[in-house]
Amino acid sequence: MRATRATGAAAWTLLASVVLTLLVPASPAAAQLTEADLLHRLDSLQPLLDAATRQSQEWQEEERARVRAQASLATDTLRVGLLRVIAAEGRSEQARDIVEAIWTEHYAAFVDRSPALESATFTFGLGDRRSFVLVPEATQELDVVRWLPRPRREEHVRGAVAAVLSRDLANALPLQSWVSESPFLPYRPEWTYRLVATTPSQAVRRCLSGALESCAAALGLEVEGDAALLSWYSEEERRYLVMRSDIGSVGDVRRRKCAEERRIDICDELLAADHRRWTPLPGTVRASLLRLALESGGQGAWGRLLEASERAPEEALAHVSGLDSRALLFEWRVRLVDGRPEAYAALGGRSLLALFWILFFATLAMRSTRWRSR
Amino acid sequence: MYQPMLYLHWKQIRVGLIPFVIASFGLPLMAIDGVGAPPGADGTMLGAYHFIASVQPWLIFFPVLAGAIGAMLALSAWNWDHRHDHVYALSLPVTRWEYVTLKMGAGASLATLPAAALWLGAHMAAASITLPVGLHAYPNQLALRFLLAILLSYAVLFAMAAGTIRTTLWVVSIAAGLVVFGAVATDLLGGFYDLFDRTNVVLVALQWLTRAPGPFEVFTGNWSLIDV
Repeated sequence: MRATRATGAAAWTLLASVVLTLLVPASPAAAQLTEADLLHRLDSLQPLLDAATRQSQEWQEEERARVRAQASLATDTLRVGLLRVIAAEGRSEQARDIVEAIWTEHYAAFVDRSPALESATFTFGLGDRRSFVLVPEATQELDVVRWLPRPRREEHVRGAVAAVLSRDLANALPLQSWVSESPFLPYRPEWTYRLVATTPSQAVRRCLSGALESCAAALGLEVEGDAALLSWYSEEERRYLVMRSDIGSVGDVRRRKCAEERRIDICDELLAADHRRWTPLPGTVRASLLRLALESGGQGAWGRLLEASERAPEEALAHVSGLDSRALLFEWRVRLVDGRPEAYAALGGRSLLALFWILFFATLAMRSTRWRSR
Repeated sequence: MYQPMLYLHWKQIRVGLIPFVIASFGLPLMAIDGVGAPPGADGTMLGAYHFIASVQPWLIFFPVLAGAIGAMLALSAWNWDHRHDHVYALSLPVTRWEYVTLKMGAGASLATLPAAALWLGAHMAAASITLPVGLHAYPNQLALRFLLAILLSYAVLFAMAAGTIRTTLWVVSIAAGLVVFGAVATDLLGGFYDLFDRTNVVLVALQWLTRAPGPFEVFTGNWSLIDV
């Protein structure tokens, strides 16, 4: 151990001397050196720098190997679909069980290839000991808290895989800026319906009434420029947007003119500065459309999405799903409306259940411990 | 026999019930107080999202109030019996189960008072505002759930209060022990049995109790007066 540390120290000393040499102010005589001489001097130092870097890396490898040997950490490497998982010793069965369930249920149907997944590695049960395992590209620990119930752990695995998959779209600017949320997060039909139904937008209301072109507009598809704002919101709604938002400073005259003097042209001017920000339906709702497109596309859908990632969102969705935009929007709207919550669903049945329990506890009262009078 | 039991319970509780009846009437009105379209706005859709969001913080008070009313009715039902060692009950020419049934019925009748107050308050609240498009009021459903929650809370504590203090302590201790020590025991057993490693017993028990067909589902359901 002392020998390796000495080697490491020598390597760092050499590196430091090279850096200092370059930083030492040049003497008057050196100032007269030509550019070619300076370049030659730098080139002559390069082998020293390379040697120092190699020494430093060797020292780090030796140190890592020493720590690994001491920790005696055994691991198993699993392959589940496109996922590569390094599991701690004794946890591989559990890892395979959970990861296979998640992959089969949520990803296998349409993720056939993914550069992000293929270059990533997950760990299971290693926790902080990941640094002892040679996993330079390790992405995430899948089993963060062991004592959580299984559904919560599956949720974490699902989220971790979705986060890595989203990197495939990192450079797909049109699509990424449109969807902005992962399509693999759980779809909550009641929550989504409430969000849509309470959005103050005329386009959304028309969409709920059945106008598919309004659904496209509300989702930020097929509409560009200033016309988008006019199709999304009525005059009163645009004014309300300005009042509710943080546009302009508190003392901004334009804001006051819009809100109090009802100057709709001023309101439009404030909103038009970044009209995409006012798309009625948020990223989570748009991601549900992408999710539907992937489900409709079936096997290979994710690969087709990567092929079409540079296109406009509406074209990409059509390419992924194999459906034209109207058919896809129709399916999406049907799913949305089907998710409408019944505020007091099954109240009749639940009332009978409550009555059953009331009578149950009343019966217990009749059969309780015997009263005694002192 | 029912009327004297009802009168006795009413006499016991009439003063204490007044603030709960007022609270039941006022809670729906307080929940929608200040909610609506912003000044000068004509469109009733404008505040729908914020309407729902503004009402949400009040929803927890409905089941809490129902539980408190039920508890008060149950404890007051047995107060005099415990104080006088059940002499009155034991001296009556009725069987135990008949006595308990009459007492339970009397308390359940009194439970309709705060429920009726809430029903009235909910209708007044719904009538006093213009609902945004897409939202609906559910005053009848809310009042029914409120009544069931009161009755369930009443029944549970009525059963516990019908026994001795020792019985009550046993029940409460078991429940507390499950919550406090169940998690520790699950973690310990998880090292030996795969079932406990895969399942959080305490969480499963709580989920069963608070969701259908468990007994306390009525408390954890939807308490919205206004919804889509």
